[in-house]
Amino acid sequence: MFDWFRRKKPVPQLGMQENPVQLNPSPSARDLRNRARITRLEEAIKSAKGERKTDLVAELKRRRGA
Amino acid sequence: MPAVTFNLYDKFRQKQASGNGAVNVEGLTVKAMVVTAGYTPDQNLHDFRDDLGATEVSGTGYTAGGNTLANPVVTLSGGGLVTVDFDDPAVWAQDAAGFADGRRFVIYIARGGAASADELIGYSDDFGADKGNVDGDFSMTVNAAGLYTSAR
Repeated sequence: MFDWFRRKKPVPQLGMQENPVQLNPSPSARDLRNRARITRLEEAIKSAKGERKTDLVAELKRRRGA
Repeated sequence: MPAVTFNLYDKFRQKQASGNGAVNVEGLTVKAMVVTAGYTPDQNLHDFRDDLGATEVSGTGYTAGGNTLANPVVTLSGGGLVTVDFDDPAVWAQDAAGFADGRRFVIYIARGGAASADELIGYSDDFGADKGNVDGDFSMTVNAAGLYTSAR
């Protein structure tokens, strides 16, 4: 019985995590943010397909040029 | 350069979760506006921009309605993390006739018409003191991890 409870998968949740915004950021903070965004896009492109992938690649190019 | 907590309105989360009244943040105009201490957020009940009343700052260098968070993008990582991210709003340039009484940001969908049609997304905590663009540029940047995320 206890094994059954342990094996039971958690109930899926649609939790949303809010992240702090920065007031009057330094240039280095902006650079850090841009690098993080590029990394995130690169990872997202790996699993994206079709038109979605095309959109993400275009966005990555734009941000690399920013 | 303080970091201020960002909070999603409950009604926004409810709409996005149910699909009833959900908004496509990648297809609509999202803006960040600055409000005074006159606005007290009700995270549970406020849902449209008219809930803010007449609390928006005003002054040279500030356009009513705030600045756009351009290029929204929602990414999915291999680990199942959904991230909602935007470009930062344009800097509110320094002006001696600017505003000096900003206390928090409110982020919302700008549909271009009545405030009662603009869905609220979220708001920052109080800055802790009046801020503005009188003494220098005033700016906001979205968190490096995105404005908000949803984990698997």
